[in-house]
Amino acid sequence: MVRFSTLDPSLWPRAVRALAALGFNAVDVPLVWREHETAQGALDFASPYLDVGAFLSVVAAEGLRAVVRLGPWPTSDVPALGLPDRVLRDRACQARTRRQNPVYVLDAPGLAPLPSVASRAYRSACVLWVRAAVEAIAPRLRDGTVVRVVVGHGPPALIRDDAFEIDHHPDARGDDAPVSPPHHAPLDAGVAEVKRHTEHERSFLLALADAAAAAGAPRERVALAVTGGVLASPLAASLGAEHTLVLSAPPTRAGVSGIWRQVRFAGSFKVAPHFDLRAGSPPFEPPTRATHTLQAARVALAAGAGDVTVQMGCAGDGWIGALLDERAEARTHAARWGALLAWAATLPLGRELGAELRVHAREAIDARAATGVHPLPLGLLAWVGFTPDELAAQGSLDGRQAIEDALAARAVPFRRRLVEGDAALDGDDFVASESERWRALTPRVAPEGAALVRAVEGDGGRALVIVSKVEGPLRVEAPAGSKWRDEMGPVEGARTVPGGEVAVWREVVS
Amino acid sequence: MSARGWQLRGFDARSWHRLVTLVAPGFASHAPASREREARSEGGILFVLYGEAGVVRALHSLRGAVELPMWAGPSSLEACAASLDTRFAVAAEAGAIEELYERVGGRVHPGDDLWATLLIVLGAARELVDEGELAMVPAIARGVPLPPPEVVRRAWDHLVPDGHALVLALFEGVELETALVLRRRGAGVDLVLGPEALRRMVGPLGGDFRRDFRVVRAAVERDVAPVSCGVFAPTTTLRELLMSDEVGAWARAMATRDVVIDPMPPWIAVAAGAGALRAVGRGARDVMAGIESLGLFGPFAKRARELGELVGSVDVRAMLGFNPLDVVGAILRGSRNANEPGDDDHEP
Repeated sequence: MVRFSTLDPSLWPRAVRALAALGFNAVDVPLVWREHETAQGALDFASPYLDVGAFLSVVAAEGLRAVVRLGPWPTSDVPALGLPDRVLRDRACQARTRRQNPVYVLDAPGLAPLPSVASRAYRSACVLWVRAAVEAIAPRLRDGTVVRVVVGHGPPALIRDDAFEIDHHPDARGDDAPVSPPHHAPLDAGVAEVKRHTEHERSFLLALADAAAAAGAPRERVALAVTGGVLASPLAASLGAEHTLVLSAPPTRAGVSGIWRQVRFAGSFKVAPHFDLRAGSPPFEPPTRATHTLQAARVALAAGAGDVTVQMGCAGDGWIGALLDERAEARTHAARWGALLAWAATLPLGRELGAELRVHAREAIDARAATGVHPLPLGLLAWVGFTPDELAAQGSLDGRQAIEDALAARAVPFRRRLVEGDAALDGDDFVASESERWRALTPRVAPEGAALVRAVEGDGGRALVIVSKVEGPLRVEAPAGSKWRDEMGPVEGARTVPGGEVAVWREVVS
Repeated sequence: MSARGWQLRGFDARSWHRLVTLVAPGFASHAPASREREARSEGGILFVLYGEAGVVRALHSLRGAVELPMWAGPSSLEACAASLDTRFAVAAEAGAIEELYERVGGRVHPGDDLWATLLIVLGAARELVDEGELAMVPAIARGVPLPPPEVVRRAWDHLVPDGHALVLALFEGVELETALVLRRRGAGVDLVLGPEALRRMVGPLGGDFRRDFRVVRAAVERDVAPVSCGVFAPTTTLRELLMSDEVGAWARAMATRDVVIDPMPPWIAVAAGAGALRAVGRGARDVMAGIESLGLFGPFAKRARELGELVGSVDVRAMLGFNPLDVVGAILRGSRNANEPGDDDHEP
């Protein structure tokens, strides 16, 4: 990701070239509304520093593609949520508390009023912005340089589909009376509130997607940004079956299991999601070391995150630990990202094998709404290191957690599938289809439960991706009668995998 | 409202991690695979949301969601924290967080500067503590009024006048290990620079921070702004000073030039005296006399006394309910990470 408007235009070619040299095949380009709006409603896409067309030309000249984020709040580092002051300060656009006060969120080092996604005034303004921005990049959409247009609020610091964030804007509630805070209300009422809010989010995102399409963005190239962890998000569950989502990959804090679970769950969507990985940390979040973000990315890629953006591409945007410094020169650890992406390209592709765990979309939404930690300000807690996964789903992921844990403890590959319909949740959720096939693949792991395994069948045959989730060494023994090889050669009985590492075994076909 | 247009430049992951964990070792980064070990270790923060029927949700920053079988109301918070091997805990009655949002939302106005906003948030939180809806471990003092924004602004003016910069440069051997340059513009900070930017400004250094500090200061004054205060020291020395609860440790370190402070503003002189903020707040003239007797701050002595009165009127302990320097020291002294420079020595 490169915020070109924060870089001197003379550095644009150098930055794009440096990213291409690291192996990236596209540049993620956020457009920040407040930077482009020069007067009320007047937008500037042509001045130096703001010339998105010129930047996309640089991208095209280097043979790369572009992912363009339109927001309206495209990344967490932009001041004032990326919104023009006339929108930010418009009372009609602001989310409300129960007593009709504005809802303030952190806009480091101060506060900013949160917009209401239900507000008709806010939606109208956002739709106009999206249309204008898409028109500005239209030539590069037509020539194929822009391969994806992302709409929606991107920053993970705020989780808007949490019930605590219930918006009392008049457009959100109509004539309905204000509800009690969720923890005072009966459970059903709380769930209903979450669903109501989720619907506002959903319709907001779809309105932006429609605006992008109406302005000329091919529908299949429009993706929806969903904030927060996918396991914690009713919105993700409701949209994941039909739309391309852009999701934030879990932070290092989530641990190997948390990262793996979230990415694997997203893999159940019909349309493969786009994941945002981090090369560093925003300045107002706990810092992460370069080694740790690389390890987290490695786990996410091993779990199947195939379409990724590495945020913090260039330091000019204020990120900590960006791949390129302010002079658009690659920092030392950038080469390790290049190596990681090259390794990811060798991971096995194909049909996912293993036990099937059905996830009913409607029931998943209900369960997440009911078991969430709605009375808590998730954004604040996420800042100190909690993950949405553990906040909303720990121990209560609608009964499937125990099944997942049991499978993982035995290193049994399993896959989720998001299904529609009204089928009741019962033992049928766990379907051991192809049981013989996955049993034959299951390796023996010591210590038990220390590895997570994914099985894939593709053109190159069958393969296992084995991820150690503990610090210490892991002993992995091949199933009896099977023949495998890893990067070092044939696996003779067993292999030791270092803690936190990933091993890829491919079946030897005689 | 937010200070607009501030820039942050010149930090790689390593230098930022070093800087943050110097005062907040609990924020240290850990590998994903160490998650299970971390969850079993001591430390972290406990957050409890409770209602009439008991605990609604308890979360531990290292362990995730936890059960609190010994919960018997906010008075049991300390015992609950101890049972989880943590020294910091917050308990919020159901509705308290929403009420905090309500009060902040009703009081913040467009155009409020950083300090006005900060005092509104702190004030709302203090009210909830006073009303018994929020509880903390360690407990903070109740019922002490916050100073008005004008007084805090005056203190900020003394700390770093408008258009001036603060510099912290920390060295490891002959290398500039990490650094922080803040430039004030108006009520807030408009520029934050890290060691990468500083190295580019400074060029090659000689390898002795007692001499190099002059080069660093000159470069900052040339490229950024006049420096109101610069702190230059080896990282290990600064960490030891932050951990120390010994009266006069800072003054001694300055006298022996284990830490170089240049320029030396009067508020540093006050602070270096002997647990000085508190002492001056109590009007301890002997402390001030002792500082003056060092002969280091003669030209500033009168201003230092004035500042002492000001510091007394902006009692940080009263404002927050605790003294942040004490807390930093306590955290560092009790942290298992405090003496570890970090395992990122070889990380690019």
